Amino acid sequence: MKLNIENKILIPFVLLFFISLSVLLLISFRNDYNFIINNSFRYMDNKLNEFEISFNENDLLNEEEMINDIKNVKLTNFIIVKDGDVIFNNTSFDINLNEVNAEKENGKIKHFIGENYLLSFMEYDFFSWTVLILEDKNELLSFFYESYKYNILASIIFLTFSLQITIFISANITKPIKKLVGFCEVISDGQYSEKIDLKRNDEIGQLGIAFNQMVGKLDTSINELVNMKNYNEDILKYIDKGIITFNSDKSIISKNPFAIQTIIETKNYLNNRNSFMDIVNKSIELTYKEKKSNDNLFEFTKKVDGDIKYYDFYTSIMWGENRNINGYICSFNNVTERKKLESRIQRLDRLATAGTLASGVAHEIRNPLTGMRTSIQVLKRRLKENLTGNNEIMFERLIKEIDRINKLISDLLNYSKRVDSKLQKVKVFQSVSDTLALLDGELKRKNIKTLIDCEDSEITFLIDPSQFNQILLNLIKNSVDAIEHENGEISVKMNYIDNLKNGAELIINDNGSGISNELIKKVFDPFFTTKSSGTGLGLSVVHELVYQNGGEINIQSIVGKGTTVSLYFKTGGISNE
Amino acid sequence: MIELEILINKGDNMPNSYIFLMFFFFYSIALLYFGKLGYKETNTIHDFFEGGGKLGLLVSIVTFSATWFSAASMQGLSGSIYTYGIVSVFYSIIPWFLGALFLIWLTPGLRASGAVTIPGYFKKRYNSKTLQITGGLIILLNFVLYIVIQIRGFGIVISQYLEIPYYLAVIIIYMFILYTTFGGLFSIARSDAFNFVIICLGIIIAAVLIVYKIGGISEIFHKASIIEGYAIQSGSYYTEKGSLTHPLVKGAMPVLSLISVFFAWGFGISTNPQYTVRIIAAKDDKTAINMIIKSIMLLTIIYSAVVLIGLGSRILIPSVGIIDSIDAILPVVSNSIFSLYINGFIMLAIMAAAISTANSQLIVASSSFIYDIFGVLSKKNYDDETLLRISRFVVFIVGSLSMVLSLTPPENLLVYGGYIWGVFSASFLIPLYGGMFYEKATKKSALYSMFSGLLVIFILILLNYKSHSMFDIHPAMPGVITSFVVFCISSKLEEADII
Repeated sequence: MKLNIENKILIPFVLLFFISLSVLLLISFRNDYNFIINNSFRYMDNKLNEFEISFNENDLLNEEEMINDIKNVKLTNFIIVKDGDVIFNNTSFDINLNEVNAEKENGKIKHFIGENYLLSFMEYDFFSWTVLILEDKNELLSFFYESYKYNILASIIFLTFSLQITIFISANITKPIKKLVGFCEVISDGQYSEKIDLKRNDEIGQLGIAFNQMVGKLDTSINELVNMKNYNEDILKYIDKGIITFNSDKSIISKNPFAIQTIIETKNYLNNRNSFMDIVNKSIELTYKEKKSNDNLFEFTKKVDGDIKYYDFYTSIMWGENRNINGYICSFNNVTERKKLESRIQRLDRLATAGTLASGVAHEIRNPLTGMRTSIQVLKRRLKENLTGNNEIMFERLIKEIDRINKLISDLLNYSKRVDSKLQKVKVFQSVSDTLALLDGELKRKNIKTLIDCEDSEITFLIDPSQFNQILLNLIKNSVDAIEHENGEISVKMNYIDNLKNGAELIINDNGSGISNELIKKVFDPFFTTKSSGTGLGLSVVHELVYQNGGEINIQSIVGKGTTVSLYFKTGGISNE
Repeated sequence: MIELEILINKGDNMPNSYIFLMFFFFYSIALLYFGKLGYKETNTIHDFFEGGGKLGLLVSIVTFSATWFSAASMQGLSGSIYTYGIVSVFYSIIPWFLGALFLIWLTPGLRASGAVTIPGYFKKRYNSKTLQITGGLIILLNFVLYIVIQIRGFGIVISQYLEIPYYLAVIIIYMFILYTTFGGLFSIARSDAFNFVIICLGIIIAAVLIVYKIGGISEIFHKASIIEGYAIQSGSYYTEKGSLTHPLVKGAMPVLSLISVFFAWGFGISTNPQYTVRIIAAKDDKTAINMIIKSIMLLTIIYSAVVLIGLGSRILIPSVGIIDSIDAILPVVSNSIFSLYINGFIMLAIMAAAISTANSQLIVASSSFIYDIFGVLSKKNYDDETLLRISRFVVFIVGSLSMVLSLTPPENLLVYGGYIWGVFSASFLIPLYGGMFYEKATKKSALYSMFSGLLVIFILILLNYKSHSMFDIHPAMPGVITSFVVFCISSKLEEADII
């Protein structure tokens, strides 16, 4: 049994009081009892002595006269034994004489305690009498018990009273301690602002004061700690960087919200068959093996639509005291946008270089070409009579080829020459329909179905109309060119991308031959073409025009399945026209 | 160890009081233990006086019943049945139970008012400090006087059983009452539970043995109906043949007297702070009402046993010798009927009845002083620890006062108790129930009603007081009626004034 402090004080006192009172009672019982017995014996002895004296005074009497004399004076509790027989008995008791006969001694008073009586007796010389004085023991004891009862009662009252006082005192001592314990429980529940008031000036009171100070300090420290923790948690929570921590066994301890979000987002993305978490674990493994930090860039591709994301992984060791490894940390951030920006800048650089080069070269080529064309026309006129059949056709072809070179050079000059965009709201559906009508002959010839899925025919783009037409023509033409089978299909879808209708999206999807992952990065590069007759400027121009008009373009493609081009432009507000 | 052997072997020499001392000793230790349990839980005066208002059903029933079952029930009633017969059932038990039914009616309103004492309710209802303080004083004085009954009941028994002087017995109970009350209502409830078990044990054992000795319950009634003669040889009351089992003592008890008693006992119970405090201390309304109903059921069993004991004793011992009052009949009779150990149990039951009622009354008296007198008059705000100290001090003073008064005790506990209860009904009944169920009751009408009721009952008690006034009209009846009439008239008058 677990004793509380109150009982630890109480029980020893209870035992102490109980034992000492019991001992006291027993001792007093023994003393009182002996006192009463001895007192009776003394009284009886006196009686025997008095009898001897009176006997000696009456020495003339004979035995019979003596007994009569005793009867007359009415001596009580008196027994006379002679030769082993009772010759006189004025008590109500039958005496067992064996003990008396065995112990009696001439001239000496002897005592005997029987079951119901006390005996005091002496053997006299005269008449060989043994005289016995008897005292009723029960009567004696009942007086004794009656008076002794008050001892017991007093003891019980004293014991009860002492215990009551002890209970009060122990409750009084332990109450503040219990209060303190209760206070500790409150504190351990985290209510550090509580205070305790024990209202005492003794050591326990001081303990209470010390406790309050301690808790006050604890409260301050914990507040600081909590603030610090919240601050750190907030950083982890709001940072646009994924952070995953590992213990020294490389098991994950924590992931911040960005990390969790990233893991969900990259569910279907793979890097050489490795999932996002595989890469995380491999990075940690590498850091574990090399015992140093690592920084690597990984590319993840979505299998379904070929979308690509780039993540920069940084892994390092968390060192504890004494160079012990406490754990590992892996941080990563999404660098896809940055990568895209980089490649766009590179592309723009390339475009600029190509443009400058082209315009420079174009002028230098155009002048001799003009000379060449004029010379050929002069030659053709001079030799008119002599030109027959094939020769004339060859002259014509020469001129045509020179014209074609001229056209290319014009294109190049156009390409390098920036034409400013005059932005205005253009109805997308209308433009798409016009472009498809323009290409109708070719579409029919190749038996290509076209689908227009339009959320709202009033969707507008804020764009230069002629440049938009050029963009559409280039893109749809590319799709038509990409389809080489019978069941060709081009779908055009347009929709708002936000509830406020500030931006809209146009998606052109074909089920043509598609472009491989390696090549798709280069499609916007100038002079890159997969077509035998292409100049490699079409998509490059589209790209240039899209960005010039403040839009965005994305291209995703799967070989054999088709290509999807997404265009994004501002709507310029909802059209009321 | 020779002495111990003497003690054990020569037990024949030992007076009976030694056995009773042994019983008394174990009872004392047990009471100490149960009283101690409450000390830990008492931290505020709310805990101290109302058990923090969170007593559960079982504890509530036990403490309600133990408080109810007092020395007046134990010795007063059994002695009264022994002497006068079953008229005592109509004189006391039935009015008590009817009064308790009123309490059920009162419970929801009283608990909803948020008051912790009846005078506190007066303050809330009538916004009158005079009513509150007067109410507090009435409770204080009434209970100082009523605790005297318990002390006397205990004193008589203990002095007879232990064969010690009366004043020594009074000191013993004083010690126990103070101790159990110092622990507050928690201590009282715990020790009440223990005491109630003792009471039930003692009474049930005694009743079963008596019924067994006489040969059945119907035999008891049959034999009682043919008894005649003086119950107390030194007394003046002669039992006519057949009157013991006659509800009106064959005409000696006028019906009007019996009805008048209801005004004291019945209405006394229904306004008695020692019960309202239990209602407030229960943890919810449902518990409070359940407590009253179940306690009455429990008490019905116990009282049936008391009736059997009273009648059976008269059959077994048709007459007792010279005794001071009928309250001494039970110990005297049980001494001659039962064996030593059964007597020990009955002694404990009588003690338990007295202690369990006295401590409850002591705490109610103190709470009245603290809440309704001290709390109203004192301008200072005290913290809980200080208030607890003051409360314990008040307990000490009130207990000591009762103890001193009980050294010159009243003669008949049942009649004396009826007077005190009568003061409650004459002063509290109308303002309490009128305030609860009559919306138009005003402060003035409550005040006039209380004071007129008090005045009438005081005058009648002073004129009338004698121990054998059982068959007269009880002063509570004119008191309550006056109080009611004054209440109605002053309400109407005031209403007219306002209009």
